[in-house]
Amino acid sequence: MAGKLVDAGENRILNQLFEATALDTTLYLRIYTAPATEPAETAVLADLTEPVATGYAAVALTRDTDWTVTLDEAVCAQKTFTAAGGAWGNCYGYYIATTSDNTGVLMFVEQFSDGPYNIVDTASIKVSPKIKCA
Amino acid sequence: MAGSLYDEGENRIANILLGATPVDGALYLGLYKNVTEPAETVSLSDLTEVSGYGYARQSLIRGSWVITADTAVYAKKTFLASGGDWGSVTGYFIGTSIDDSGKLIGLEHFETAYSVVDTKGIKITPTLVFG
Repeated sequence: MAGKLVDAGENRILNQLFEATALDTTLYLRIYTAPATEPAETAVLADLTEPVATGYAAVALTRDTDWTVTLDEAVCAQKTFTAAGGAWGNCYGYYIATTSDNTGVLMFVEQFSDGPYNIVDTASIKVSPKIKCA
Repeated sequence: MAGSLYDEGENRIANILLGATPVDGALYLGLYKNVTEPAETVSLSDLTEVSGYGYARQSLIRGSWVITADTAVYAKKTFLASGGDWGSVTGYFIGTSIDDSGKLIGLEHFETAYSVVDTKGIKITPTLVFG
């Protein structure tokens, strides 16, 4: 299942395509432990909570290098998050943002369809982000 | 009513945002005469474009759009017939080229066709909704 572009992401894309905003050469893949329900299209970065335990970090996704575009869908090479030094608890989904912190723009979010995944120390989550431009 | 993104346009946008395709510095606005609304799979060459009598695609320059939330709007453009009739115009489209060598980004099919006779015209406010 593919996730969804959120309102802030749609606005940023239009500004990149039609106005003066530069393209993002790097986006950041991040995991959320809250909310437990699928974030609304109006969500912003501050609405999402990341794991706080040791070993968690956002993963950089490089434009072109990490993505394969077919028709209206862009698929990213699989990325692995591994807990190291403590449990992360329930992880409900992933999101893609323009920054690794909350100063940027939330572009895209996907709630795990078979989640949450309870990530204990040394366990991993593998994510293959898919974005549909439709 | 706003125009819709078409398959080629969606692919182009994905390639610009996440692939290696550079952003388009200009897009081109045109008029077509297809009676039924073209399917989302069509290309520029599938459109029966208005031709002759003063008709030409018009450029839409990046940086000149107004973006509000998920909608991009361009200032009104006027097409004027000169020297003859265009006949029944059924919609407008936005492509990446002045000719049919580029990609069809999107189009809007008019609810009612406009019969354009000599010296008369159509005013279009290009609008694209992303979402």
